[in-house]
Amino acid sequence: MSEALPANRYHAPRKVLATGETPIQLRQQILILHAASMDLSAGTVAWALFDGSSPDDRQMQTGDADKPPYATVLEAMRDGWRVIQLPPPEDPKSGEAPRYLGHEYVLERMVPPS
Amino acid sequence: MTSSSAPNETVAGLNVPLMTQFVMDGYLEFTDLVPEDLNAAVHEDQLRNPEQIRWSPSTATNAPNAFLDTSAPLQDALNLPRVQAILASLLGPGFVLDHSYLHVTPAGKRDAQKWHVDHDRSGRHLTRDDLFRFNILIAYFTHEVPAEMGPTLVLPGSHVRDLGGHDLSRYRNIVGQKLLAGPGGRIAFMHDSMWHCAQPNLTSEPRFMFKARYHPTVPQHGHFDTAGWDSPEIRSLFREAAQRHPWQGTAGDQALVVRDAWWKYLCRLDAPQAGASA
Repeated sequence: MSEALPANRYHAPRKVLATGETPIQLRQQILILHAASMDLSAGTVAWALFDGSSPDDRQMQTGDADKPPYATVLEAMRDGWRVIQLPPPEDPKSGEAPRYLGHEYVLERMVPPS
Repeated sequence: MTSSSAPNETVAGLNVPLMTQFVMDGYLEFTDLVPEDLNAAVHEDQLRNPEQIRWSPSTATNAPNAFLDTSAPLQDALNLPRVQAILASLLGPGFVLDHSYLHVTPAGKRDAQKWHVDHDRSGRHLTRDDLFRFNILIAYFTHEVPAEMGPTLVLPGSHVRDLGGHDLSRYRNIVGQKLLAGPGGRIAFMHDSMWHCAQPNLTSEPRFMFKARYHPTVPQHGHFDTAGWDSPEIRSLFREAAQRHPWQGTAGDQALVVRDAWWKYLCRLDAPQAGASA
C-alpha cells in the first residue's frame, strides 16, 4: 500500500573546499535554526534548509523530520556552517501574544552543485 | 445545514479537563462520535468522487459545501447531538457554518503543503477581544490515515500566536509538530489560528479529510461545564504550561500569560443566551 518515507538527504555533510581550491561553481545552502533562547548553545526548536546546490525543486518539506540536524547553533558552526544572522533581542510587552518563531539564526555554507 | 440550534441539554458538551486541553494545545480529537455504519456511509460518498481532487458534483470546482450539500450521511454525522454539543461548548449557541470542503490528497502526491493558519490575521494586530474570539475548524477523517498517507500536521500550542498566516511559509520542521494520524471515524476540533499543513500521501489510495469552519455569534465564555475550573489541579496545570510545548522556547512564559487570561475569560458564567448578538 505504501512506500518508504524518503530519507532526509540534507543533513549529509558535503565536501568543503580546501584553501586555494578554485571557488567556482559554489552554491549557497541556507540553514535556518530557531533556538529556544538567545544562547547559541540553546536547543534547536525549529529548522529549515534551502539548498541552492540542488536542482531539485522539492527541497526540505514540512513535517519530513522530527529531529533537528543540529542540536544547537554551536554544533552547526562546528560542522562548518557560518552564522550570517544573529537575532536581535526580543522585548515583548506584558500580556501580548507571541508572534513568529523567535531566536532565528541564519547559517550558510558554500558547496559545489550536487 | 447552516446554523445550529441550542444544544440538547441531555447531551454532554465539554468539561473542564477537555476544555483545558483545548486551551493548551488548540485542538481536541475524538474517535467515538460517529457510529461505524454512518461513518462508512460518509466514506462511500467520498469514494464516489471520480476526480481525486476537491469534490465537485458536476463541472463546478472548489465549490464550498459541494460535498456537504449532497451527502445526507455527512449531514447526519455533523448533526449528531454530541458533535453539536462539542461545537456549542466551544462556540456558544447559535454558531454558524462558514464553509466546508472535502479535501482530497491524491495517491502518490509527494509535495507537502506549507505551514499556514486559516484565519489570516495579517494587516491587523489583535486586540484583547480579538484574541478571545475564535472559529472552529473540524477535520473529519472517515478512514484510517497512517503517517505515510498524509494526515494533517499540526503544531500544538501555536493557536495563541498573533500573526499573519502566509509568513509561516519559510518554516519547515518544528519540535513537537504532530501528525493527526489514526483510525477512521475521527473528528478533530481545531482553533482556527493553529498552524497546520497537509502532508504527502505516499500510498496508492486517496486520502479524504472533510473540513468545515464554524464561527460564533455570541461571546465565547461560559458555554461548557465549568465545574472545577479553579481547582488546585487546574491551577497547577496552568502554572506548568510554559514547559508543555518546548518549541515555544522563552516565549512560553508569554504564551502562558495569554492562556491564563483566556481561561479566566472562558470560564465566566454570564454568557449571553442563544440568539444574542456579539
